Amino acid sequence: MAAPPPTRAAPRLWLSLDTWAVLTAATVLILIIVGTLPRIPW
Amino acid sequence: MSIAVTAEQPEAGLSRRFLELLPGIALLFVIGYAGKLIEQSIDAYGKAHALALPKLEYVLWAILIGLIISNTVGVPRIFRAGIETYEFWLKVGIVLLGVRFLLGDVLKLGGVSLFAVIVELALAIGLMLWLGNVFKLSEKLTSLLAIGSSICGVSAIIAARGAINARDEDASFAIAAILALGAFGLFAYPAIGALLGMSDHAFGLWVGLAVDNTAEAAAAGAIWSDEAGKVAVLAKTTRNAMIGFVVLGFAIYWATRGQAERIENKALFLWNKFPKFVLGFLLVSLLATFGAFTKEQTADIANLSRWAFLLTFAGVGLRTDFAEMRRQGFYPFVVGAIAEIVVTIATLVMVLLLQPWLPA
Repeated sequence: MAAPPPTRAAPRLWLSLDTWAVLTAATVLILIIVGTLPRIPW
Repeated sequence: MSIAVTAEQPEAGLSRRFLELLPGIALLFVIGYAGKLIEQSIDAYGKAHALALPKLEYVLWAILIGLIISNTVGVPRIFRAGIETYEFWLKVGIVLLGVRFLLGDVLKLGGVSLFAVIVELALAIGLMLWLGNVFKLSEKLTSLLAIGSSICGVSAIIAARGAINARDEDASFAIAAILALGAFGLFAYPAIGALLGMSDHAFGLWVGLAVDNTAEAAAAGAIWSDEAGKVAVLAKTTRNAMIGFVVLGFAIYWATRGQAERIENKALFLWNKFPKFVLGFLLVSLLATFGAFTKEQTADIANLSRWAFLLTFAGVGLRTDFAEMRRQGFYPFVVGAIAEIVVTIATLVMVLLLQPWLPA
């Protein structure tokens, strides 16, 4: 069998990825609710 | 993809590490946005010349651009850390996607998904164990492939690796096989769906059940349509939520054979393995159901979710390196491919049978 690929350490910044994702989403929701963000087009 | 197999870097300062992410995130945005511009240009060209051109979603273009870069010139080192954030954007996108599901939809579609997921899990695990035995793969590699193909590819394998004390090489092989098959599925599934004339809901449910890695499942759905992408994410999220139970089952099996540590607190183990962003998704869906957002706010949140997915899909193409996959050995790939084809056909039949219970 061939050698395994070099593995990269995930950029881990203090919290788990899930926690960061939920915190980011929560922040965005709050900003939208209080009206800080402009309308978001797609 | 959080293949955190190597030891973590020593403390490099939060702001510096954050800065290191920016070039890659910018590249994700540029590629995703280029995909969107290509889609719009083709649309505009078709309209201007009264041509009925096939509607190809931006997702396909973004993935193709990423694939071309990663498999020709390669991704320069400066972008790599930022590209790895694609999984973060995927999770942010899923949490925000909750706004497009009223809880009733989640329960109805989720109920159908849950039934299908349980059948799919039993089938994929049983088949993978049998094939591993036939091809004489190591038992732990077989366990990893079974977990990866039944639930959610890379993150399931990472979650299981520690729990069953598998070797790093086995984890790498299993991950490579799952990713190669995912890349193939991105193009094969929409073609099969088009041949069968599937509805958005049926197609979304099918790819959510059959495609192993969450980013690829979401992308395969979104290549079909926005609505199919939404359903694919829900079905895939239902599958992801089962991760703890399946990993626990394998961990107990290896512990009884004295080849993994015994798990004392099973409830805590299940909680630790449970993907927490699913709770975020459910909470946003709950808020939307109870009218916490105005119509405009709902539209903004849904659009932000689409932007987060755009970054994810750009990352899917960029991190798919076929040369690296070729170096991974042949048998894990063959075992994965056979199981994948059987699971694909079985889930397709299941979805076609479940169609009467799906929303039109």
